[in-house]
Amino acid sequence: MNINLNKNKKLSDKYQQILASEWSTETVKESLELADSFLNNCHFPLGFSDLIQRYENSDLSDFFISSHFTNYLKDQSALLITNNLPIIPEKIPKRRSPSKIGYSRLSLEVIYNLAFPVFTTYKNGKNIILKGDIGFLRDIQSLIFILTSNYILPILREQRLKEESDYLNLIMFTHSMIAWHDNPAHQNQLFSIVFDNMGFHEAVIECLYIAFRLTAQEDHDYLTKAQAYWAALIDAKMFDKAKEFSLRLLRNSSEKHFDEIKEIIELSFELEQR
Amino acid sequence: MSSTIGGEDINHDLSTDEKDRLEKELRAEARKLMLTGKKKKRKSLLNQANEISRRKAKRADHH
Repeated sequence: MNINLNKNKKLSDKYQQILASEWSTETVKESLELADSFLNNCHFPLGFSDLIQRYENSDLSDFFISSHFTNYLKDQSALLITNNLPIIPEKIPKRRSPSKIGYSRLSLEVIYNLAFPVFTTYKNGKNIILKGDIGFLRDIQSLIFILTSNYILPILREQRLKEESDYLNLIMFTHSMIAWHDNPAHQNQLFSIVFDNMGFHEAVIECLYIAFRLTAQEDHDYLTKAQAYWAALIDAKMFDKAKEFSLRLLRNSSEKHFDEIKEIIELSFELEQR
Repeated sequence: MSSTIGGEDINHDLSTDEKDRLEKELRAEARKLMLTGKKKKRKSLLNQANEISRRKAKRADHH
């Protein structure tokens, strides 16, 4: 069965508005609403809100930890040495406080959207082939990914919702690996975020460097990726490497970036003295 | 530019000028925070800058 994904001007405008807004926890909800509206804009609705109508809250958790989901995660990470990855939780404990129930549900919504259309295929037994605006889907997924890392995972850790947090880390890892295999620069950018959340700081530096090296000098994100790598070196107190990198950056970059790079060089020296 | 089958052909990316302005502002704010140690906020700003700046996905096979 072909699923034709259709964006329209309203959805595109909303996406742009979210991108350019000042981000907060509310932005996560806005991005999930955008995904929901987009996926419900198909011939028949495929958004999370449609799924949730057919499940009670407790049944929904069971749906996500049923064998097809855990098998999916196991399959996707089978080729990796998984000792460093979180263990796939056996179940999500029944949450009691309203806030924890809310965050638990939010986690499931993120999982649904990042894994899309994996869960959809189990809904009616028919195979699903995505057509149409797949690029827009991927960009919304990327937005949800980053917002989840910025705002949801810290709350889950604070609220000690370990199982939800482990599920999110795993799904973000598999999403980076699978959905962005054709864009290694962005894939490594996303890996750096996942590894940062898991505390693998050396891997973060490596991924940020690869992401930078795979970005063309004329691209908009060239200097942003350079700054992210440089900041990671500073955080790791690798000042010599940070200085060397920033000086090389000045030599290899276009003139329009000179002021910002000079500031980066000055900061490297200033931060080393602290 | 995205490819659509059946849908309207609308580019969903921001304009070049808007990208230039936003990413520059976010990078500058992140650099300022290098001096104050607000690591989480700083990383969040750079993640947003990167998401604004990067080339948006074109039609591709999904998963």
